[in-house]
Formats: sequence, C-alpha cells, structure tokens
Amino acid sequence: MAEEIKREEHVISEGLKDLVIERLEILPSDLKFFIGSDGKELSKKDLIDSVKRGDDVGQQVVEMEMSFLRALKDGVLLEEILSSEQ
Amino acid sequence: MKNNLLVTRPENDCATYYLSKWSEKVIKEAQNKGVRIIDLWRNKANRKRFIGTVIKSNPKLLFLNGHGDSDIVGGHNQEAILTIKDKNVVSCKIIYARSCRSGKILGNVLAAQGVVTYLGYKENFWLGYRLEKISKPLEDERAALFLEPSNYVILSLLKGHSAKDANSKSKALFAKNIEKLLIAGPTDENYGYRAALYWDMMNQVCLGNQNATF
Repeated sequence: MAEEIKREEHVISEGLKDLVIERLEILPSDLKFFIGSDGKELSKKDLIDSVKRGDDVGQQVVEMEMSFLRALKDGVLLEEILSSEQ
Repeated sequence: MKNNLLVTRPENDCATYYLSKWSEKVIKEAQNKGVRIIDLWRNKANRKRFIGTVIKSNPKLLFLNGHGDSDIVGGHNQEAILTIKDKNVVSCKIIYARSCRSGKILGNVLAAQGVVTYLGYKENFWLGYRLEKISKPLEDERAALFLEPSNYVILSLLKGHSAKDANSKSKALFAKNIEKLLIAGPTDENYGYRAALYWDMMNQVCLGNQNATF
C-alpha cells in the first residue's frame, strides 16, 4: 500500500483505483459536486468513471481520498478537530 | 473613514450562481457593519469594470468569486479579471479568491509583489450540492458545509481579525463540519463529502502578510 501511495501522483495503480472506487460505491447515489475552472457538475458515476480512466479528475479524487485517509490514520485530522474546539 | 469591500459575483452557470448567492450573506453582514460595498454582479463582473473600479474606488478588501486557474481568477462568462500582470492595480489589497487553484501561482506572485495578503485555494475548490436545491442555493444544507466555512474568511476579516486568524477560523469551521459527519457516520446522507471538505480545508492558503487586517 505504501508504495502504491507513493506512486499515486504519477500513475495510479489498479489496486489503489479499486480501493477508491469501493469507497465511492458506498456513497449515496445523489452525490453531486461542482469543481474546476469550468464549474463541471460531477455525479457519483462521473467520479467513478474518472477514477477508472485515471484522468485529471480521477487522479484528484484518488489524491483526495488518500490524503483524507492519511489524515485520519496519522491523527492530523483529529488534531485539526480538537484545535477547532479551542 | 470606513474601508471599502469589493465583491465580484459572476452568475453564468450553476457553480457561480451558488457562490454568488452565498456571497449575499457576506454582503449583508458587511452592510450591517457599515462597510461600503462595491458589488460587481453578473455582467458587471468583467475585467474592464473590475480593474477600473479597483483603481477608482480603492477598496482595501477584494472578495472574488468565480472560476479560476493557477494563474487567473475569472469573472462573468469566465473572462479572466485578475492576472499576474495586474500586480500594480491590486497592490496594498487583501484578496480572498473563492475560486479554483489561484493560490498556487497567482496568489504567490501577487503576495510577493505588492498585494498585502492573498487568501485562496492551491487546488480545485470542491463544492458539494443537492440537485433539488439548484434554484435555491441558500436552502442547500449540503453546500452550506462548504460555503459557510469559506464565507467565514471574509466575515472574520470584517470582525477585525488578522488574515492568519481568518484563515484558521475558517479552517476550524471546515474541521467542525467534518467532525459532524464523522460522528453522524455512514448512514448520514452527507457522509460522502468529508474527504472533499478536508481537501478544501487543506488547500486553503493565506499568503503574504499574516497580520494584515481590514
């Protein structure tokens, strides 16, 4: 897993894609986002398709999910939450 | 004499409509505080008018809403209204750009060349929304998870907090919203937005003078 994460900035491994897609699959079907310089409207299906293709949006989704998981694992997010309560 | 606040609010697609409507909350609060507002709304958020107004009215704080990229902030119909070549026009200003990626290059260049402080995002700003609320953005509690924390950058500056504190307090609201979703758990319909909230929080930057105040 560590090696896969190191490589995510360049080529997203199939294992990492699968992990992120599994996480996306359990989300509600009405998931919607605006992003980007052109205000793209993205659905859950769009996100999953982008991850499968490995395009710019897909790479960013992987990066987003992995940075969130790292923040949870390393306690960084907990620190942010605790400091927000001060 | 009260300082001026200039707001750009393009409305040429659903995303900019959301940002524009949520900026109304900031405008209302600023008006309550007696701040003079210069509101460049819809087609008034064009480059010519923006540059001319900044020169003529000399607002201290610029709140820019719109699409963006690493080297520009966009206005109505995605016209680039702020670019690196405008460094002299916006020098001595505090800028908060609620747009994608302008904190990556544009913000750094401007903050190094005369802008007092540049607050923005190094990466895409992800905004969750509810399709049923697309015509009533202010009733969209999903968008509120993202836009209340980001609105707080300006609201905090209006309270007299430093740019650094405005950034921290805004991030604290993002963290609060993530905490609420984590506590609510996977059955909460907004649970899937926690990673995007963390992304926006982590990519929100405050460049230049951290102690600047409005």
